[in-house]
Amino acid sequence: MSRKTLVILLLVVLVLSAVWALTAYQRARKTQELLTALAERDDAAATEAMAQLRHRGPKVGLRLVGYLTSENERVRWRAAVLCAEVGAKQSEVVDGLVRLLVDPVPAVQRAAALACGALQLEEAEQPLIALVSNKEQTPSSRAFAAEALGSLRSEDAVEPLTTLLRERPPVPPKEPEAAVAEAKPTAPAAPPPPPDDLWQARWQAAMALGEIGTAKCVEVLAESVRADLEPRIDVRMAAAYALADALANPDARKALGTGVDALLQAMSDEAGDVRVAAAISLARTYPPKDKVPQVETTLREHLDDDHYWVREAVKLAMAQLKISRTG
Amino acid sequence: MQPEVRRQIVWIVMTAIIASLVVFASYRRHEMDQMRKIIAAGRPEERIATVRRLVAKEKLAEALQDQPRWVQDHAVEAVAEIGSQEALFQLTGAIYLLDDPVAARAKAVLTRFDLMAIGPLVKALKDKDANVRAGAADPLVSIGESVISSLLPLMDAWDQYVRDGVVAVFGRIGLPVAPDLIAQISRTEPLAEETPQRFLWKRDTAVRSILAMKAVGIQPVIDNLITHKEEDVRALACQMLGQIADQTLDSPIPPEEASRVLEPLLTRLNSDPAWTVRRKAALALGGLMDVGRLGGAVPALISHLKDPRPEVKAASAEALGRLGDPAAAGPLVNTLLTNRTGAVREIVVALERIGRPALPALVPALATPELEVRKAATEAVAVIGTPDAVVPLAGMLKDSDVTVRRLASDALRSLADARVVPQLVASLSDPDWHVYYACRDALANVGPAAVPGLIQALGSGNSRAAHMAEQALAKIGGPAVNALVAALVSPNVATRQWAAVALGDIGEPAVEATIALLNDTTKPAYGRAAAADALGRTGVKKKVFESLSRVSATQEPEVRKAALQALVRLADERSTQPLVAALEAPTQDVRSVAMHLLMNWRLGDLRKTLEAALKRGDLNARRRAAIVLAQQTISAATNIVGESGLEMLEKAVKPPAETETLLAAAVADPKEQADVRKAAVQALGYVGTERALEVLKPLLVPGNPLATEAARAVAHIGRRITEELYRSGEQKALVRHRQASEPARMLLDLLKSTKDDALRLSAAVGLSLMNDDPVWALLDELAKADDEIRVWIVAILGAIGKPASDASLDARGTIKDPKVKEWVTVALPLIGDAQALDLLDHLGEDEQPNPAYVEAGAKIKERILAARAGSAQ
Repeated sequence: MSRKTLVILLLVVLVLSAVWALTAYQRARKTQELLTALAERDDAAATEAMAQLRHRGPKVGLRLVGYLTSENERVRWRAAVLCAEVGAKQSEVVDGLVRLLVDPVPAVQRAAALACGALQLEEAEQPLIALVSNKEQTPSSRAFAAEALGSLRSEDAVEPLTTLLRERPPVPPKEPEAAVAEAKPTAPAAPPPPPDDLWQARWQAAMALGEIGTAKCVEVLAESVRADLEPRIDVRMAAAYALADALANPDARKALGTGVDALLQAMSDEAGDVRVAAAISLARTYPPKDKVPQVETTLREHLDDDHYWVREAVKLAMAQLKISRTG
Repeated sequence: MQPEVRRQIVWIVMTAIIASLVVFASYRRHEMDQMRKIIAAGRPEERIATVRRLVAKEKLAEALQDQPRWVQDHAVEAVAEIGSQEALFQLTGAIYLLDDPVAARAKAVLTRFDLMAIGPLVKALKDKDANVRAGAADPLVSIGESVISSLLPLMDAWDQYVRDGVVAVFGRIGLPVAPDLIAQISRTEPLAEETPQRFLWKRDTAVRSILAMKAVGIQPVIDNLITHKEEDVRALACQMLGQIADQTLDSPIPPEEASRVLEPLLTRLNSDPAWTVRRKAALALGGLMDVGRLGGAVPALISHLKDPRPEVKAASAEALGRLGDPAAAGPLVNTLLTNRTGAVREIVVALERIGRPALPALVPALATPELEVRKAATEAVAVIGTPDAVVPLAGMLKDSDVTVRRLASDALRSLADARVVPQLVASLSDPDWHVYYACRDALANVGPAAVPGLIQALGSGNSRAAHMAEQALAKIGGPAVNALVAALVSPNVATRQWAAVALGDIGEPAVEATIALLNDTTKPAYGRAAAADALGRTGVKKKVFESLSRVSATQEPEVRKAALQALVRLADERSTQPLVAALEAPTQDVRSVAMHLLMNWRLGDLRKTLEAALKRGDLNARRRAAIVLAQQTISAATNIVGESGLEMLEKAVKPPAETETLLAAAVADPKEQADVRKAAVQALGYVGTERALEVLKPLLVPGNPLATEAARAVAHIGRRITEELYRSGEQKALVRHRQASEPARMLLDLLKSTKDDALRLSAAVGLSLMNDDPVWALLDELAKADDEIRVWIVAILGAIGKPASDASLDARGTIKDPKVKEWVTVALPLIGDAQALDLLDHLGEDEQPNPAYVEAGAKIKERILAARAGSAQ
């Protein structure tokens, strides 16, 4: 190679290095600006910054460690969310996130729980269990913790999730018959039921139990589809869907009969959404032989259900289970 | 490489590419379905992974569109588990596609995310797609106060829909955001870094947000704005309170909430030093309806009818109108009378709104001498429009001002009843068309009760009033028929005539009763004649023809004549027979009417019927038939229509030979009826030949009453003779030899001999119609005649036009006598064709025609042409 060629090559390398260095420098500066924007009062502006930071990948994670311990709560929860979005699983990040699970600010706790679940951090299992079990915590924090435990598929979480799922308000009594009501015109009106702030946490707990999928989970979920026990339609519906998820696990097959019975019972629920969930779950759960006639009969009975989606779900289930319409 | 091999390789590569594209397209088509299947029935981790992929591709909404409930629910659960900002944003954008229960769960998820969801929700609120924006509002409201700091910067967003979204959210968040909004409203100027546009937008968003809070927004306004030191802010506060508490809206706030604004508004009205504030307070009180009435707003507003500022006065009046309390009527009228400046319109509208209870107060105002007050009062009474208003309005029909009368009459159009018929009838003769048309319509709407008054108006002597009355009666229709039929026998001529017109306009419903009158010979003839006239006007041929036809042959002459005219009006071709038969009527007047009607009759087989009539009846009847027949000839039609297109008429049927004989005999018979002789002279002009000239010539003497008609007839005959000669080729020879026809000579002699200007004109008209026939004779006469006749001659040459051009130019070239030459030169500009004008251009100054002669000739030429046009009609 001649000297001239060498010089040219050297120059090219120098130029490229300079360009790269300049780009890296600008990028680093921009990243710093975006990180600073995490402190914005305006959530929309901060969201824009987070969206741009997301594209910088897991490398940003290490730079977020310091922000996880910021005095500004907005910075802490945004940093936690960003860790999950960029997939940062460095040990310093993990430690930081786990510490945030006991942050005094509920918004930060929630973000940390979400991040731990998204990143599937097993180190966070116990703190999450503690969060889920703590009745002093806000319902939404417990819901996020339940969700994260579901992602971790933690069997240790079954008990606390069961406890959470059983923190139900009492089922309100049915309205008296019209004749009885007319006979007692001066009877005081029934008091309104107390607000059920915990329903979303129970909802998440049901889904988490479905993801964990043990026999115990099936038993607990079977309980939660009952309208005489669980007052909230959304939770019963989630429990019905979760039963199918749970029964898909081999560990849960021994509770198959219990699960199918619960789904069959759920097919007579007053709420259409619960019946839909039950029908779809039956479609995914191949019943034991002794339950097949019952399943067939129940599904056929609901071919003319009042609810459109129940009818559609039943048709799908019958097709899936190869049940004929006429018997 | 060999070409064949290269070609094969190329084909293989192309096939591979196409196959890949097909497979890829097929995969993409089914990819979405596959993903939906996984979401429906996959394991939880599969569902989450699939939803994550959909979010990455920004296709979550598309995947959920029209999907079963379970797919939607699973997707919502997966998004809750993913929890990323982008996933939450796409879930927001998909809410409008979800079933209601699933959408509610999705919103609950977003609410649970609380601060983490604000960014995506605000991003969705700024989206161009209204469906995406719709999904953001509820979760933002549920999250509550935390969203305020993120939405405040959007209050001056460029896009209106973003500001609307902010208003919707702030309106539902309520009191927590009020301090920020109040702070914005309290500012009256932009900040240093703020543009005026942005300042105004921000202010507007803040105001609308407070308004959207409804009753919740009342207290912040009362606490912070209504007592602000800035007048503009206080005025705005009054306006805002009025808008919030407005009870006229579709869904107003409850009255007990609305009543909270009463005291602050009344305080502002009664004690604020700024009139803009008092005005806004008054207007705001107006919207409170019952709340305002019961809360004591009316007395305060009444007292402010005396406010020194007219704007406040007007606003108070407007508010009183909206409140509608009858107690305000008197003070409003009093203000109208004594202190109305700047508030007239508002007072009028207020009185209109108060309605009927205001009438007793308004009626005295109708009599005030001030025009503006009378106008306003009349307008108010007119709009109130209850039966109580009718009589007062009728009283205004006599007002001196036309605007007042118009207002009253317009209102009475729909309100009038029997009580005011006399006033309405009297106003049919109003000078203003608006008024009398409106009165006409009002009377028509009153109906049968107005009929007697209208019948009287028919004979009032005022033709316009009678016309209007007739139209009103026609509009009333059937119920007026009997009275109208009775009016046909009124001794008043005008009443009869107008009654006939009205019955004609009524049409079929009037036929039976009118025929009954026509047939009732106990009734006076004039009445039956009027009945005939009415029947002709009805146009109901089927029912009416028989009666008219019979009557035209049987009853008194007056009735017959009317029946004949009615038959013509019916325009039924069956009328030909009775019309022709009437030529033999016992009395001459009936015959004359029939003859004149037949001259313009064109229906049915008239020619055949007339030819038959030539052979029957007495001589007078046959002569009359001949006259009509002559009128029907082509010559007559051509003379009436114009002078062109003779060739196309060559095939026309000529009248029977005896026609001319009969006509000539009629002309020559001094004992014949005058109208028959005159019509016969005219008819001879249409069908006569040279033989007819013998009987016409004696008439061409001054003093003869038929001289003018005879001159025209001679001209028509002369022209017809000339045209026939042209067709045979002889006319050119005659012209070459300067020989005029006998008709031309007769007319020229008449021109020279008569001193009667009208007769001279008739002769001139006749000569001008004869083309080049008389030209040389006229030119020769120029040499002999005096200047008085010369003027006429050059005028006739001018009226003849181009056919006279060649001869005139020739004559000018050959004539030696300078005087005669001069007169021929005068004819040239009057002839006015290209040749003549060209010669004039080449003449020297001393050879130009005398302008005075030309002017004199031009005047006469105009008269000739006008007379020709008149006779053609």
